[in-house]
Amino acid sequence: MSRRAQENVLALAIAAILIAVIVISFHYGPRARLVPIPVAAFSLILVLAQLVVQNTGSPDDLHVDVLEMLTRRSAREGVASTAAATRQRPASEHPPGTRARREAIAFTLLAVLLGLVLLLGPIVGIFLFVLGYGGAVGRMRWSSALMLSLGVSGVLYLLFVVLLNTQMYHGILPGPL
Amino acid sequence: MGRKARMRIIVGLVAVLALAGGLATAQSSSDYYAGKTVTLILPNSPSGQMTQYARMIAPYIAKHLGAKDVRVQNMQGGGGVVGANYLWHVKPDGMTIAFTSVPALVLAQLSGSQGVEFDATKFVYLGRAATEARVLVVGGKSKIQTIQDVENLGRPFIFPTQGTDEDFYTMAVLAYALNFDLKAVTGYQGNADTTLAVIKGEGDGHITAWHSSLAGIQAGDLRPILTIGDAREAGYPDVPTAVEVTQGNGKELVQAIVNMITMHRSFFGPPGMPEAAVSAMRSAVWAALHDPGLLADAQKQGLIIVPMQGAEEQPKVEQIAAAGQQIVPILKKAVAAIQ
Amino acid sequence: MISAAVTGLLALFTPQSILFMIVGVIYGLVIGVLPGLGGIVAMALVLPFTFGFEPAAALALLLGAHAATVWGGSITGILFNVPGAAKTITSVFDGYPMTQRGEGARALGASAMAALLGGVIGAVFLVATIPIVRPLMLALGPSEYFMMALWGLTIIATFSEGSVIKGLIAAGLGILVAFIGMDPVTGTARYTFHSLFLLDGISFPVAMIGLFAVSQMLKLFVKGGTVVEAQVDTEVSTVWDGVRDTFEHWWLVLRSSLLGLWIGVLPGVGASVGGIAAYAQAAQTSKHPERFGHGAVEGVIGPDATLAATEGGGLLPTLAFGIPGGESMAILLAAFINMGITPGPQMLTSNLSLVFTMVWIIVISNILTTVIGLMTSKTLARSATLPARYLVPVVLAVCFMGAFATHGRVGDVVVAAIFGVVGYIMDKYNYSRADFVIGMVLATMIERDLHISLTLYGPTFIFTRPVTLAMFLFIVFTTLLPIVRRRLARARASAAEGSGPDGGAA
Repeated sequence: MSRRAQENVLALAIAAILIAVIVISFHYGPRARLVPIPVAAFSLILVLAQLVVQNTGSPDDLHVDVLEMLTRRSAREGVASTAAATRQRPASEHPPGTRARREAIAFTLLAVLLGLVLLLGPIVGIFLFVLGYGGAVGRMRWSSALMLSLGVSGVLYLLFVVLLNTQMYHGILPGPL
Repeated sequence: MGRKARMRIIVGLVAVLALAGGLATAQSSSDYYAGKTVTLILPNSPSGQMTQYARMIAPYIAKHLGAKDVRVQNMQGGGGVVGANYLWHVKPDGMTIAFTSVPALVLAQLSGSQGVEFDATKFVYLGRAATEARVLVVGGKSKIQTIQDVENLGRPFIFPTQGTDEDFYTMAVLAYALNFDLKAVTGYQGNADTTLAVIKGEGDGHITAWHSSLAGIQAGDLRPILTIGDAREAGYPDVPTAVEVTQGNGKELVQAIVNMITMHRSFFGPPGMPEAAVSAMRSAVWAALHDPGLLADAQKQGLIIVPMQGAEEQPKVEQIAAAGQQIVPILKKAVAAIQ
Repeated sequence: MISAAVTGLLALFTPQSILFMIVGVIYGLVIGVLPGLGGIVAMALVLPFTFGFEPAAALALLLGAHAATVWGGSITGILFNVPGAAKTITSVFDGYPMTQRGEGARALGASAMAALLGGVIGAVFLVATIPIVRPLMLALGPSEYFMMALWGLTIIATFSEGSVIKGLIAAGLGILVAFIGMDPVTGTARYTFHSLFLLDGISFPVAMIGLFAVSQMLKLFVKGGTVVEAQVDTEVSTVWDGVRDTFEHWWLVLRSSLLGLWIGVLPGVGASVGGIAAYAQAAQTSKHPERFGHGAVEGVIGPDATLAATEGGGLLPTLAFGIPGGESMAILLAAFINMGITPGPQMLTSNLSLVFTMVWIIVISNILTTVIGLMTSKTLARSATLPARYLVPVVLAVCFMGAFATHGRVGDVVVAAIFGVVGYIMDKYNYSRADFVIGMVLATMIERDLHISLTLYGPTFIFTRPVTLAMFLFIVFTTLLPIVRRRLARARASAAEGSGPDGGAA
């Protein structure tokens, strides 16, 4: 998917959310919807404007928009933000395909951590995640991964459970802690 | 051995067994909690005063219960509804009980709050730890001197409030019973915010606990005009109680609200708790609240203790619920007025 | 008054008080560093330990811990984009870009020094403003608070990150997210889909952990390498650069501190709103507002000075009226009661030495925090150069734990994860997360105070309340000022053809 297509998908998704917000808000009383509806409607107009802008300019102009031209933000700033944008896009380090794959892996890892925490509770879940991450993803030696995960979950246990007296969640599966 | 003798032995054995059995039952009732761990659910935030109370009292309940521990577990959310729902569904073996503001739960139920799965009248009440009369205060510079002035204001009484909390509902019932126009201004951030609004004269008056307003009253920033409680406040004998100034049906409604408020910080268990657990817990709570150690702790922390027996509380809740049906339309109207 | 100040200071020179203050400061720093936990938690947890001690010692522990959380919360914001507490959210706006540039130590130094000066200035002026605080508090009402919130919103334009439209969309989404849950104005459950969890709304600290910290770790994983950008590799600054920056911007520090004092005094304005207002103030009065959000040191100095100064300001309503200005002050009030102190106007007359004790505690604990800060900044800053394979799992673990501990609800961990993905997408497509957060923080205040103003003063309240009108005009002025300045600068730049961008912040 080209950058522009991705931007369009995102803008359409935001527009859908905003329309849903407006529809839902009409179920509320006049005071409860007094602020949300105008905010959502105004945002919706902006999303539509954004859609127009990003589909009319050249692909390089994706970062430039009408309001910016209206307020005439300085050229110097334009340079700075383009520089920032280039810095933010180290895609050049990896070919585009690699980046998409790494993103998929990152989201999966997040889901794995979330799943572990929900199933086993934060302490055990974090221990397993750090161990697995260090060993499998971070390519550490398993012994050092074990040290790291023991250290992290131990410190968290001491800080949160012992010192701060947090009541721990033990997960859907009964955890040993 | 003759038949009679044998019979006597059997009877004797049965009697001994029965006695032993009876003793054993008696034993198990007072030892119901021996060596057990009780979980005390707190549907409130860990930083609030409710938690301060619970943490202070819990060890003394454990002591008088003979239990290994009474562990406090905060389960906040939904204005207390999350924790109360949890208790409603918990296994009623007496090992899980709760402590919170009863009026908050009853009002949540009566006003039809979202997500309420429990019936507050069906909980088993185990004893009240504390209650404090509430007070209607107006600004020190306000023209309103007495509650009669509120009735004869000639314009709506402006009431700054945080939203649909206990004081909001109390105010709605007061306005109905005393027949004055109420203009509730919702959206304030908390007690500090509404107090300042009253001092400034932005609002006419609001309801707080007596201790929250004392400093302001002593400094002349606030003026108390009505006590919402069982009796007049010591030190302020000229401030009438809400029940005194109302008549007829209005008096009944106000009495229902006052009853509710007097149950304030109470211990309660899930419906269907075994009789042995209920009696053991009620006496342990009562004993804990009279423990000299606890009373010393409470004084050190500046917390008041006003105990009430669980058995005495139970019928009061029924009473509240019955009277509550009359309050419901008032509550609904008050909520509709701020939409 | 001077004798009260001396008596107040002397009360602190007991071994117990000194020990308590040191313990409080270190403890506050740790709590501040942990994401999601801030000053309120810090005070709530130590409160039971203070019972039975003499007032000076107990207050040293409580206030010391509370004051130290400010800088503690900034550390992780600056180094890892993980704001330690809701109020230190602004530390990620410019502190983190500075770290990326290899100026982490400078940012930490500036932050610590600004917190020190802010705390001291706030405390000194606290004493000076005691006589005028009552009339000031009584003069401001909901319509003025509404204007303050609007003023905070005007900062959105600063975070355009290349697109003002996208920035505004992000802010709009942030405002709407803040409306999830029970609406306190009407008692309506909005956008909750009958979920009791959502009835309490999206917790701000949790959303923040997701938006900034979790998403940053996702990004770091995708990118590889370290937080500090590849071309810089190592730290290029020292702590003393930051200290010097702070003194060079003394006027900003002074203004920010006074703003903080004022924000602390107003009970309806929370500290997280305060941080954003401080940031707005710093950006709008800067000669180079365009650098904000890209690592401007003023963006670190201003909010930190303000936050440190709110500590003193927050004491005032508690002392002067006996009404706590916020949740943390409610805890302090509980401590007062068990010490047998009755807050109220007489505190400022008969009990003045105790007030001074508190002022001194704030000053001294700020000094302690800064000394610890300056000593550790260099080491701390180095941790930002850790490779991703260590940093990603560790920071993710801490974030999840922090999200859970904020309210002890496991659902918040799910919220943090969702907002992590949302934050990643927003960052990738240049929808400013800062704008989103600003919208989220200010939404409630805007909505509440708008409703109160409408109910009390009617639809034309902006024009019928003189102070409100003045503030409104001030907002218009300060919003237009940077635009005018920018045009002037442009005109000058095109006149003096070809002067290139000078990069770093002045």
